[in-house]
Amino acid sequence: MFAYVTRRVLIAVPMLLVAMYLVHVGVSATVDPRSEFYVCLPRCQEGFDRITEQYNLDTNIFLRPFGYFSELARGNLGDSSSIGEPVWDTLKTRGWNTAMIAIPAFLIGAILSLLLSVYSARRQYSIGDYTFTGLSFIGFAMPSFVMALLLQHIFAVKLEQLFGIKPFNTGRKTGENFLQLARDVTLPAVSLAILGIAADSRFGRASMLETLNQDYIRTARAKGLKEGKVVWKHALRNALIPLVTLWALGFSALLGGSVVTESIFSWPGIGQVFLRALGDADLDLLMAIVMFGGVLTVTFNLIADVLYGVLDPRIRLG
Amino acid sequence: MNTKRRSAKLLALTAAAGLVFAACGSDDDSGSTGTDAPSVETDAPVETDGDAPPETDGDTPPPDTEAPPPDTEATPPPETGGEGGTLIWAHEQEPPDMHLDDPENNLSITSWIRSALIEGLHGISGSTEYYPELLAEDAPLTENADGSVTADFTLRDGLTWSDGDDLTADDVQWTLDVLLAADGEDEDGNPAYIYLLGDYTGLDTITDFTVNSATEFSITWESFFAGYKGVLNEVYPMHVFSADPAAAAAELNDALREWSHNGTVIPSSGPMIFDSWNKGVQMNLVRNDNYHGSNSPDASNSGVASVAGVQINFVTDTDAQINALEAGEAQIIMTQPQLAFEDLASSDDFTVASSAGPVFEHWGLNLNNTHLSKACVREGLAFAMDKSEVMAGLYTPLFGDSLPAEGLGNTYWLSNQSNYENHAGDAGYGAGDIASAQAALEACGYTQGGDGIYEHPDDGALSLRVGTTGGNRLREIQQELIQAQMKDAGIDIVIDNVEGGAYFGEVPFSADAIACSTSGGAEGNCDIWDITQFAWVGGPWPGGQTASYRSGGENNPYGFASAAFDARADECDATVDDAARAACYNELDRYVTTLEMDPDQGLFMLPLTQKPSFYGFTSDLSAAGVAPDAQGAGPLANVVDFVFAD
Amino acid sequence: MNDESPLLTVDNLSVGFVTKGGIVQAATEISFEIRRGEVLAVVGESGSGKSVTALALMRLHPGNAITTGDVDFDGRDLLNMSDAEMRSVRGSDIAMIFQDPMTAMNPVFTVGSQIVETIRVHDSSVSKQDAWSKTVDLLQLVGVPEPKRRASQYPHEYSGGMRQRAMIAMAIANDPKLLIADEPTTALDVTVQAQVMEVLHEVQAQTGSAMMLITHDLGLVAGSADRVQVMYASRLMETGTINQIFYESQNPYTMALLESIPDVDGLKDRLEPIPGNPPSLLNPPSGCAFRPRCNYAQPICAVDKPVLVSVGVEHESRCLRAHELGADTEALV
Repeated sequence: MFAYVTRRVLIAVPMLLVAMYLVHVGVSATVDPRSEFYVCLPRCQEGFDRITEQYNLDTNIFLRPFGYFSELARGNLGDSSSIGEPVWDTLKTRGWNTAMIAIPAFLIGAILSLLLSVYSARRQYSIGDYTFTGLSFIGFAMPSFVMALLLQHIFAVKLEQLFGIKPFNTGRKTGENFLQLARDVTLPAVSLAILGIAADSRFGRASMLETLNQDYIRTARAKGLKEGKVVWKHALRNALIPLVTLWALGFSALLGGSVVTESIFSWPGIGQVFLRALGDADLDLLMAIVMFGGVLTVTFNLIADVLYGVLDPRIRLG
Repeated sequence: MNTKRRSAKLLALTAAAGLVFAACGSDDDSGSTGTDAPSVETDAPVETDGDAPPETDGDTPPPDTEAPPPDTEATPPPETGGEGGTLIWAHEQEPPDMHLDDPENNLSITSWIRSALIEGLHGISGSTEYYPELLAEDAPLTENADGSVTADFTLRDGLTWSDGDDLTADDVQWTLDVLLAADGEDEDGNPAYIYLLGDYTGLDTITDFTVNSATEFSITWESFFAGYKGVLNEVYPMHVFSADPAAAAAELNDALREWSHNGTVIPSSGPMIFDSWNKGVQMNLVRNDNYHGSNSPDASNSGVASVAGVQINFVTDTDAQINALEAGEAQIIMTQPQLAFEDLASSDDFTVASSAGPVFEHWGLNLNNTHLSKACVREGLAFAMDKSEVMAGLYTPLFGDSLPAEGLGNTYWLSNQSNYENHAGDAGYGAGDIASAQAALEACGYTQGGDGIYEHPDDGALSLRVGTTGGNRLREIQQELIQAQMKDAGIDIVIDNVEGGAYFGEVPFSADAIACSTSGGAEGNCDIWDITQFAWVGGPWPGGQTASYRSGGENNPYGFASAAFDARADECDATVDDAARAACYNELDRYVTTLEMDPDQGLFMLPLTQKPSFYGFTSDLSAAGVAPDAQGAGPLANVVDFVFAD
Repeated sequence: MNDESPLLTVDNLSVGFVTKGGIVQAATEISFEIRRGEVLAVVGESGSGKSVTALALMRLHPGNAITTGDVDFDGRDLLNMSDAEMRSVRGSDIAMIFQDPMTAMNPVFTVGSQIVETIRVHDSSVSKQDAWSKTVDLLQLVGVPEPKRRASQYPHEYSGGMRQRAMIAMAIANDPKLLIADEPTTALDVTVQAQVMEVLHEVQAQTGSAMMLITHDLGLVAGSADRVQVMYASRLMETGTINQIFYESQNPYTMALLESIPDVDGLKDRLEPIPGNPPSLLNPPSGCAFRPRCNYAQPICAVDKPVLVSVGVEHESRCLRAHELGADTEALV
């Protein structure tokens, strides 16, 4: 196991570096951190030169990433021009903020998609099954910003206008204690979760259906096990295996920040600053976010693989 | 089993109910918000501040009357209005820091916030004109024998900083010294950004600054500087910084970022004091109880602000802003035009207002292009364009009746300043006059080809590229509308935008393009662009813009080179009398937007439209007479006048 | 309920499946009994209804099945008892061994734990440790080598034959009165088949339980069953003792089946496959279901439906010409 993990990490590092190299070249080719300076030249020549030096803008675009990498090797992630603080600080605070909605979103999504999977598979072609299938297609097809705005409009605006109750805020992380924070977190977390549920419950239903048709389920019933135990112990454990990968990747994507959802709920997370970094040609921050996303993906892929081995004894990591 | 089945049913029920709910909710607005609006307004703001060239008038609001009590306690007030209440403004843009003069950070929002914190010699009114802000009145000017000009300024009585110290002429002098000293590097070798982008030209021609008394001082310029009212538009508090200007410049360069120095908030001379900033979430300002009052002609309140503070919520998405407003989480928003506003307008709970915004669009023509070098072609374009149709196509669907009827068909300078005239309109341009357009083209040898597009015997088909920063839907719609109009006239327009912020640096302002322009076509590459679309951000003094049209200027990509224009521009800037100076600028405008002054090179700018600013606020926020405006001042310009009912 | 009464009495059992095309009759009016300790072989081609019958006894058939008739197991009405009561019968009084040992065990639990579970679900008073040691004993009994170590292995670590042994161990864990073995050797290598059958017989003999051995392979039946019943197209075709079926069959289908078995002694010259295919259960042929493939068919067979008739002591056959078949069969063709 240890050797396996080590090997995977060793493979991932150069892949990540190549990806970052490409992103650096790509971003450098499309944005110019000095764009705001052209209009004030030559008066702001010094500032212009400073930015030029900071981002190695006078070197070939394909060589520029190496300057970044050598700084990175020294542990220097640079400064964010769009946020006005060291990139590391931004990554820490925003990463944590994103986690605040990503973790509940993941938990809600995983639990509900699991329940729905089991329900839909057990009651295949029932009204409930058709309802959830329909809903999940809607959830699937609906653009995430529409979904987010809809939730926001219904739960933060309409409920108050119609019934005078206001369970949730339209977003923004302002709460100071757990309850207040829960008001802020709920809608963004739910709208993130819905996207996951729509996909995962379809997948989970298929996986569960397949599992319930397996011979060993009949064996379990023939033993005299209660249906609950058949489903939640014998079937679930097997049906979970393919879901675990889905969840792990979904969770890493959630932790990487959602641009759309965070924008609509004004959530100060990674996704929101990513958009800002993009708009403001904030190269250092962009690179850090890309790297963060890459590390998350690699890590959670690994976790998925390890869990895979734990859940399915037929798979040996070696 | 049974309980499980029941809970699953409950779940199904909840989900179904949610769907029904959603369906009900969507028929009044959510449905429409989902369609196209977001793509319009998410991009626009970035672009507006991003690529509008020069002219920054980070400015300030109002003064009047006396100083009330001392000392303030920065208390973040409640979330809602009433009882003085905190004004909550949901805005899409958050500045990286509060340092306005860092070129990476030159955002309207920064100047809007600062306008409520720091006042200067002059402020900018709702009609985009200067008014004396810290000054008691317009300064009398004296033309000296050596050609220099002296202005004798008098500060208002009773000016005070929020910490209780008096604001005196010494603060003004110190501020000037700091700005001059900041034109260099700090100890670490970093450029001291202060005034990097501002109107430095008005500062380094100052030959004398004399403090006559606590409220009186004189400034002498070596020659008349027409933009003199724009200098010192912020005066900083000397008493909290080092007396030595160079040291203070370094301190201020840091202090302006987080608006605090040595852990203490910079004292305010405006109606609000900076309080706190939770990055990514909100910024809080609290009322300056020592405020000396607003001097703005727009403000009706001459004392301290009625609201206890201002909370700026950073709400990135425009639809979310409207939701926040409707949910009572914000009381005022200022956004891009969009459909959901019509619902706000129809509700008694909310008031909507709009005004001609400070951003106005142009097409700039490359005089070194074979077609565009011919005046007749430029005139053909000007005639064929129908600005009122563009405005109707762009904004009427979004604004409906709340569209400001006038002021959107801007001229070269500014639309709503009484001194400036619409010369392009007077010449009959921009009215969709196809016949005149075709007559102009035919007069110089163009003939209509089989496909309806005009051709020149030597230069081929009349096909021109127009480019701008891509990704801004509002601009793209505008381009497409004009493209169709041009096609009607027989001119082929190809839209050739560049995604991202690289457009200006890579296309019209690229080294090769500028080389072509400055060398009169002899060097560089004249074929990089034909027509460029861009925006100006307007200010009360238009003189700064002339730099873009002066012969051989680095900021002049058009290839316009006229010694007559250069000389006249110098004269305009040197004209002391306000009315005479305005008339002179009008003459310059005729060089640029008509063929009257220069039949050969003139008419290389086609003014398009002025983007409206749009506000929505809760109706209990009484803002009578203080409809917020965006003319370089922003929603907080008249914050003293905001009052909550009850 | 004395030892003389049959362990299982099935009376007029029918199982139909509701499908889009209509009701498919998978088992029709099946009546038979299994006595204590005896081995009843149920023989037939795929789709003849033998597995469906077994699953119907266990009430393990899919949800779209309609079951009618009476099933009396040791004085209890299997078809009408509650779900909970039925669960207490499954794996305890009646245990089942399935066809494919590769898929019949849950891949994610150890073999031992799956057997332990079987034990403890019916008697929660047994401690885990006791159940575990009983499991090891059971594995030993069915001939799993190193049962202690093997118990904590996963199914995929077992070979096919070993897995079927483990399945047998699981089935006998609670000393069932009836063991239903549904094609227990079909999926196994020929060499392993005999071993597994041997184990099955040993444990059956040791525990004294009755066994319903479902197979399509008459050859397998020869050495192991007391009585045989042959099914075709959802119906019983012939019932009798092993000798009656093998040597005195009075049913053309049985005879055709016998022709198709390879004879280990090499007495037979050639194998005779049964011509044609089993009929559609959705739309069975008129008259006798076997008629289209029958060597002895006469016009009347297309009109009259044959019923089971007694052709000897405990010997019944479903054929209009059953009585004639007892004599010289060759002459009848």
